Formats: sequence, structure tokens, C-alpha cells
Amino acid sequence: MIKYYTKAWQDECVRRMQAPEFEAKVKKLNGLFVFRVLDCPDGYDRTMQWTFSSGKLVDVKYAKGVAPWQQLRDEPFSTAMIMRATCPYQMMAALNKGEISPLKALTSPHYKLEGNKALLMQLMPAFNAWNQLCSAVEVTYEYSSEEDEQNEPPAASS
Amino acid sequence: MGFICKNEKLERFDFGFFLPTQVKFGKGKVANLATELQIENDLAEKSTAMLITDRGVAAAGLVDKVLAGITSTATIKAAVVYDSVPSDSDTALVEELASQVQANGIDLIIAVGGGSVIDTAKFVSVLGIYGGKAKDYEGGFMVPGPCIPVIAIPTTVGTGSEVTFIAVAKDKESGLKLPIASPYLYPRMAVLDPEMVVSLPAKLVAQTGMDALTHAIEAYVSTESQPFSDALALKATEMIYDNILAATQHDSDALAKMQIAATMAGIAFTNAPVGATHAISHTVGALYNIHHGLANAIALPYVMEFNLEACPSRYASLARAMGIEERLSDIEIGLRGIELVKELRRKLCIPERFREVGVPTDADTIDKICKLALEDVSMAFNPRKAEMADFRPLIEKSI
Repeated sequence: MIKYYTKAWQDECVRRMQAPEFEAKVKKLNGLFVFRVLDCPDGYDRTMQWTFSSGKLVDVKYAKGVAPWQQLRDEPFSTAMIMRATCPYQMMAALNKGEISPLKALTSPHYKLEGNKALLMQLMPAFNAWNQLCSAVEVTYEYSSEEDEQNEPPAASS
Repeated sequence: MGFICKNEKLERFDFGFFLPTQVKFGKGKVANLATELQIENDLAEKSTAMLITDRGVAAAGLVDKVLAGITSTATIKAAVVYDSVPSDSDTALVEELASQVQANGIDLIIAVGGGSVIDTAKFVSVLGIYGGKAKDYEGGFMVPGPCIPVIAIPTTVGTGSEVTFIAVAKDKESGLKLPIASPYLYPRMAVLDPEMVVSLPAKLVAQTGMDALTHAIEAYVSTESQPFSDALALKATEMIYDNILAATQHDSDALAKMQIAATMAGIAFTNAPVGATHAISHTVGALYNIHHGLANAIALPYVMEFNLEACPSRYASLARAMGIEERLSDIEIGLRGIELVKELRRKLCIPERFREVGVPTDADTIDKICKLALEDVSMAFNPRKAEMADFRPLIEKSI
């Protein structure tokens, strides 16, 4: 089974996000959205970057580094990003499982959201559709390595 | 260097400011409402209005004033008058009113009242066009397009709803608050006529006025605060602090200034959303049916103390806007400002703790309030984020 927040998971999400009906739902998404997920169960920090143009996914990036991956954690927010979200793996997993609401995460000191919140609120219906698609991917949350996965890029040094 | 803000650093380099609502202020504006509408191209042809209000407003004779105002020319007739909006309007009511809108071909909604009335009108403006249930539009930006225009005529000095893009109604099924937010919810026009607040009882001046002060203070310390909202929030803070006591004595000048300040605070917080005080008051209000302004007034100074360490310079600026002149540290000036708010609350005869208005003080109640308040959307904009362990002492103090 696919391991949550790994390259294989991102690849599966990307495949599903190319469906025209999904693109229609998220056509307001434009620009770069960055997620940093810290302290994954295999001891890595991970980051995923998603770039949209009118709802079409035009670029994705994935990287991981041994936690604490200081370079990732210290990287300043850039105006090139529409949004950057940072949180521990356990919180992102709980969100994906529907155990906590996005609102609960937003109000937690452990979930850091950067970007223009007024703009992000306007994108809420698109985010909901995106979250729904991602959480529909069947995954396992507890894992100790990604060794069985193909196309796994090398880990960055911390 | 300026005295109030001390030339503070610009913290945000990415923000917007939005106010589509036209604000009209003046004595006699309501008496000439038809004329005010007819000079607006998009409103001139509206012919069939629904007037939404509550029993208190109707009993005060204010509905008659509005009806006389809109029918002073031949263009508009009031097809439906609904005068029984409760203080905590619910989803069943807005859905019923929406069906009346559709049945009567209503093309203009006039809301005359406080927050519950204006929020009801906003819901009806959505459901009257797009149908469905109120719950279908829950959350942010779920309204698909333009709605029936709403003319908001506030009769209190606190809500701010006349200039905001948010509406809240009680979910009839769950008993919890159901919020909707959308740029299509901004009223088309807010009419501030001092004659509409002249008979507001002193108790409501105090409670709704403290609601407005809470809006101003929370907007100023909001994570989304920015110079445009700051200007409105600081000016509103000063005006409210200087006038609320006199307004409870029915000083007409003070009441008019309170009316203006409440709308300014509304514009501020629709651009820089409110925080923990509202998270608590939404929760306590829904669970124990406590007036929104009263709940805010009780919680406000405790939340200011809780937040002070997160943004001391902001609280110092607010204190200076309320008249503190000493040259002390930001924390010390901020604490002086909090004392001013507590003193004001005492002078207005507003209870200091929720137990005085019937909220139980047992551990389960405190836990429940903590849990629900931490999940309220307003917490996302509070300058200090919190978890149960940090937040519980705050709730214990306010209970």
C-alpha cells in the first residue's frame, strides 16, 4: 500500500488531479503551494511543492531530508509562494484521516500557515476539493522506510 | 515620531482591503430612504421589498419610520414585513423567509435591527436566489454569485454586520452556530441614521458598544491586521472609549459617534478578522444563550491579558488611543490599557465573569468551552495560538 506523504503518494495524487472534472473544481488555483511535513515516521522531514495554472497542475516537486532537516525548516517564506503550510507528520496524517478538522489545525500552534489568508479563504472551495481528492488515496500511515518505492529521490543531508 | 503607533515596522507586505458597502450617515436618512435608493442606478428600479426586523425595533416605532421612508415615492412597496427575528436567529427561520422571498418576487431586502436581524437578511438574500438549505453555504466562499441586495439599517451601536461579509445563524438541528462568509454577503448599503439609535436602552448601548470595542481591539491585534484596518480600528477604539458612557446616558452626540465607530470597527474586522474573544463568545453564546456583546465584554480583558505577550506594542498603541500618556514599557502600557477596559466594564455595570450570567463553573463545562472555542474559526486570527493547556487558565479566569 502507498505510504502517506511519500513520493509514491504524491505521484498518485498527481495522476488523479489530472482529471478534467477535478481541474474544473480547482480552476481558481494559481501559483506555488508549498507543504513541509516534519518528523515523518521513517525519520525524515518532507516537502512537496505544487504549482498550478488555472487549476492545471504544471509542476510538482518532492524532497526529503533527515529530521531535523534544518535547511528546510529555516528556509524563509518567499513571495513566490501563494501559501506555505508546515506541521508535524502526525498532524498532517490526522487531517488526512479526518480525525481533526482543517479549522482545528489552523488554530493549533503546531500548524503554521504562511501567505495571504484573505486570498486563501477565497480559495477554500478549491482546497476542499483538493483535500478530498488526496484523502481518497488509500494509504498506510506507519512506515519505517520508503525502500520499496520506485523513483525515490535521494535524501538531502541535514 | 508619532505618539500612538511609534512608527512601528511594517510587518506584512501582502494584503488587501475591501469595502463594497456604500455607507450613508445622517439624521433623516431613513425618512428619505426612497430618494437615497433612487439615486443609485442599480437600486432605482427595485420595486418589491422585504423588510426584516425584530419585535423590539417594531415596538420602538422604527419600522414605521422605514416604511414611511421607502414608500415616500411610488417606486418601492414593502411586500412583506417580518418583525419577529429572535436574538439568535436560526436556519429554519431563514429558510422560511427565503421561500417568502421567492413567492413574492422580492428584489430588495431591508434589514432594520442589530446583528441577528442583519445576519438573517444576509442568509435570506442568498437562499432567496439560490435556494437550498442554509447549511449548503456553510463556511467560506460557498455562495455562488451575487445575491438580492441588502440595505442594512443598524439600530444598535455594535454589530458591524452592516459592513461585513459574514453571517451567523443557529443551526436548528445541532444547536451550534452556522457561519457563512462570502464577498457576495456584503450589504449593498449601510444607512446610519442617529434617529434609529436614539431610543436604544442603556443596557443595549453598553453591551453592543462593548461588542464594537471588541471588534476594534481584536481587529487591531489580528494576525491579518494591516495599515488600512489599523486606522479604522484605532479611531474606533478612541471614539468608543470616549463616548460609550455618555451614550448610555442618551447623549445624542455620543450615540451618533458610537454608531459611526461601530461601523468603522466593522470595516476593520471584516478586513482583519477577530480572535479569541469572539471564539469564546461564540461558544458561550451558543451554549448558554448569552448576548453576543455581553459575552464579548466579559471575555475581552482576559483575552487581552492572554495575548499581551504576543504583541505588546499593539496593545500599547490601543492603550494610548484610549488616553494613556505615560512613557512606560509596551507591556506596562498594555496592562494599563487592559485596566481601562476593566474599569469601563465596571462603570457600564457589565458582569466580570460568566458565572454571573448563569454559566456553570464545573470542570466539564470549562473543558467543553475550551474545546469548542479552540475549534472556532476566529482562533485562526488570534495573535497567540493556543492549545488546551494554555487556553484552560484563560477560560477558568473568565468563568
